[in-house]
Amino acid sequence: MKRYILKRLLYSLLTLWLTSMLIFAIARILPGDPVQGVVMASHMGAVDNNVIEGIRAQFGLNQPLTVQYLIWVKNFISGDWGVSIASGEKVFDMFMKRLPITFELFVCSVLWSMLIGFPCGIISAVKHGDFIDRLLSAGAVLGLSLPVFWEGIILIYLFSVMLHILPPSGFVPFSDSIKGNLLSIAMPTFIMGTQGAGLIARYVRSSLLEVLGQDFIRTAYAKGYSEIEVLLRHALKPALLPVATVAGLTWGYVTAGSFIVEYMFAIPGLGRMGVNAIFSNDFPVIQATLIIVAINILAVNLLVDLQYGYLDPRIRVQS
Amino acid sequence: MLLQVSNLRTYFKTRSSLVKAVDDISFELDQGQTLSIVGESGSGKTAAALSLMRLIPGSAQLSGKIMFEDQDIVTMGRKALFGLRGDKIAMVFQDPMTALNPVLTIGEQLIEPYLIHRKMNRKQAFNLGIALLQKVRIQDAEKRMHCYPHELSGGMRQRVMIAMAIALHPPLIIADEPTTALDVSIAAELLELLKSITREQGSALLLITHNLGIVARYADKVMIMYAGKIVEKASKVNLYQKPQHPYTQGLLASVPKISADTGKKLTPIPGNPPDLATPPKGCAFYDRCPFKITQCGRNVPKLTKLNDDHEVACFAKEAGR
Repeated sequence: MKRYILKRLLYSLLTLWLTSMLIFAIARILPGDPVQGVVMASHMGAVDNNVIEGIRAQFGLNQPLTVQYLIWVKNFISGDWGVSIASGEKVFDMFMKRLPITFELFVCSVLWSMLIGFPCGIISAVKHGDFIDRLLSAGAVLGLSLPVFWEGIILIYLFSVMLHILPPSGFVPFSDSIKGNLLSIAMPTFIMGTQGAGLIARYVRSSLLEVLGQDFIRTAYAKGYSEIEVLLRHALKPALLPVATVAGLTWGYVTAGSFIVEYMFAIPGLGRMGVNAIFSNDFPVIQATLIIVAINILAVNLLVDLQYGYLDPRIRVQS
Repeated sequence: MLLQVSNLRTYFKTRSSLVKAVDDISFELDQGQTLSIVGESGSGKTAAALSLMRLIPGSAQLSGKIMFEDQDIVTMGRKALFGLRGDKIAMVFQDPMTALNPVLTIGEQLIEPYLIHRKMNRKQAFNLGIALLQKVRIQDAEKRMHCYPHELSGGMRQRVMIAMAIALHPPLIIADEPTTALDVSIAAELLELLKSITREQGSALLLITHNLGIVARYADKVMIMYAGKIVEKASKVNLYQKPQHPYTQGLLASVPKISADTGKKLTPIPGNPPDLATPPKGCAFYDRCPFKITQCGRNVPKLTKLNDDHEVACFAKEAGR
């Protein structure tokens, strides 16, 4: 077990390292010199090369790339994520202020997708081949493939414009009003969780179908269990173990969706911060956002791997 | 009479055809008796065994009568059927590697018959489970209760399957090729164990196998199945000493014997069994039979009594060959 955990941890760190280099490289490869840009803006026209070199030295941009990378990593770890070019605010503070909002949205979306995905997948597998299975399977594919922005437009039109039940945009903090908070995240949560729900439903269905065809299910019937008892006592556990991995994928979908959804619904979270930063070429914020997304996805997948290894006795013992 | 099967048919409908896996078989089994069904793969012996507990898929068509302790299993209601399975009829499956749930411990699976049919609490059932493992001669029984199937050898897993089947002292135990997946040395030991426990409990045993060599030692009666039908049914002594059906004779000729002359070659049966989706018009063994007569290609022979302990379905035999 220890070796298994260590191996997983090592893989995650390796991935993070490669990602961080990629993110670092993107900022350097993109056309345009930031120093030249800043200086041009302030001096309006021709500039002395010495001035540019001076600024370069001041920001450490005259150092070799490897040194620059190491400084960047060191600063990031110590919480110095730089200053936003657009607002002058510290990136770390911007991040911490928005984290709780996005976190609430993420957790609600994943819970929502599981709440829909698991029952649908199980019913689909048990009623395999029936009309209800076809209906649910079609629904799952639809949920998986509907574009997030399209869903957003339709829902806003339906619930805000026509029915006036939900606010079309904006965010009410939990501390201000619980009801207001829940209403304001209802549509974003639904939209962000749809793809995950479809994904989970499909995985659960195929995994459970496979398990239901196994020999030990027949053994369970031979002992005198009814269909529902066989499902609950023998089929669900082995069928749902591999699906736990999908929770990681769902988290990825939710992360991707959050950029569009938060922007669309004017929710002041990390996704919106990231999109705004891209629009205004706010490099320190873009870099921080990218690395946080990477860490977020890697951490969740690491957790999923670990709990999978813990839950499945076959993996638990082998390693 | 414990079990009386008459005109049992199990048909599987596929997209293009109707597969008659079990086609009109009848047999009886007394209390404490051991009956063996012998046949090669695809002869319908496993389908017959599963039909007895109605463990066949819902799409299969089951007809005929399976009278067990004065109830007909074919028409029995769901509740009664679930009450019967595991309690009155238990089954040992062919492959112990896949017949146990990989994510539940041996103990959890072993005590289920007690929980389902005797409404015991887990503690009581657990203690009985340990005793069961000891009965099938598993060492460190208490420790094994906490093991998962993949931590046990194939032989041990099949012991666990046997323990599970004998838990409630069912009047009938069906063993579907219980030793096919195991080493020969372990196989003999397990059959010995199964036989002694069923004798001790007074359970009848339906032993399904493709191995005539094993059956020799453990069955009272033997039935030979070919292409979904019973072609010969006899007491053990009669079958081995005076096999009547050409197929039975062929099977016996292809079993190696240690006592036989070392230079003597085994005689295989030429050809293959017919496709059950498109069965031949007459006797199913027609193409492979060395004694066939014209009638064999036209009609299907019926089981005919030669004496009290021997029945055979063969026109050539009737005609005196």
